[in-house]
Amino acid sequence: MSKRMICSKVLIGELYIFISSVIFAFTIIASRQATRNMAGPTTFKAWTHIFSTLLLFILRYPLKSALDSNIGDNKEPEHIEILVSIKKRLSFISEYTFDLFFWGTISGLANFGIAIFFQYGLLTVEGSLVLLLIIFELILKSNYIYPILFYW
Amino acid sequence: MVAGKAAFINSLFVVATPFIASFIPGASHKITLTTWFCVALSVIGTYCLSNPMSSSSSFGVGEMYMLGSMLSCAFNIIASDLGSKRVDCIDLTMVEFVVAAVLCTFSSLLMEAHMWYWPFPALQDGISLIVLVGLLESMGYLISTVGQTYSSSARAALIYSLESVNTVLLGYIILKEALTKMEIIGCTLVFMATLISSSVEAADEVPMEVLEDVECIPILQDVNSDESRRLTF
Repeated sequence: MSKRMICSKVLIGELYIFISSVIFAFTIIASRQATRNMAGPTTFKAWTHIFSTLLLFILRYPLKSALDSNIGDNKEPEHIEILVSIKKRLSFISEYTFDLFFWGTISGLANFGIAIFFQYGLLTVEGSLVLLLIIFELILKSNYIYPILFYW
Repeated sequence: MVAGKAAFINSLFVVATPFIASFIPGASHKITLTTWFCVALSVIGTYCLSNPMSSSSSFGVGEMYMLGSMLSCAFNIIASDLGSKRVDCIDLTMVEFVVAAVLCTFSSLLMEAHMWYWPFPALQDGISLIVLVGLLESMGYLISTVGQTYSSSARAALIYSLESVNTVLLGYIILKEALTKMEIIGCTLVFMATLISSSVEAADEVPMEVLEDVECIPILQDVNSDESRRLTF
């Protein structure tokens, strides 16, 4: 029972990642559309991130119950020496707050990197960009999906 | 830069993720030989799909952008993997977006100051796209962060490499576009890599935090039982 349960949890986790990869495909398609229509790729990313933050803030509690994302599942992660020593020095901040802001900032920096490099890459590259972006071309060709996506 | 080459450079985050993770103490312990094998298989598969050698071999600004994007992808996956095991996924994604929003706004003010006057032209031109991308991005990142609670960064990167397969298959299904032999080989290799990684390693590579969830007490009791002792001796 145990092994089966563990496997199912891991597979559900990986299913989530797969679903998100499909969502990202559509994100890039829409971003590509934005770079064609709008001036200022960085401004576009700034506005989308502001909107995403607001959306997550508003839907925080409904999402918590829907996604089962509590940290009860996440006990005993491996300690990183450098972080442990920093945490000791910053003892006035709780461990959770420190972890949240530290990993959130690192992820945010990487997210910013993706946004900027990818968005400028979209402008630099001739034709369609990453293989993912071929989807965009396919959707453009298939007249029935495109209007649903962009003119809803 | 041609699409195939860009695709190949960007897809190298499948290799970069476990490689960078191997230098980070908290993330390195999950990478096994099978994962490396799957990563190699996936890269060969993506190579077959994108055929980067068909384009010129020069390395320009576009390639540098894609390298930056690739490294950012790798760092994002690792940071989400480590962060999601320590804090709540929704809080983590929210802080991530706040940081990214602040940095994007700051860089936009520096580089595209002409876009920031009332009424904001960006909002006027593409409010529907902003809402659509914002919605998709927030949900995509959130779901991937939740998923990474149960998976390692190396395997998450492998699953992301399935995107190229999805693209080609979608073209085949929707537009009835014929696949070349190289594309079929590429799809098969990437798909095999993901399948091997997910099925063979699932049981061996289970994160410890998941193990603690499971009812282990009966199993431990069984080990100490008379029957199990007899079996051992």
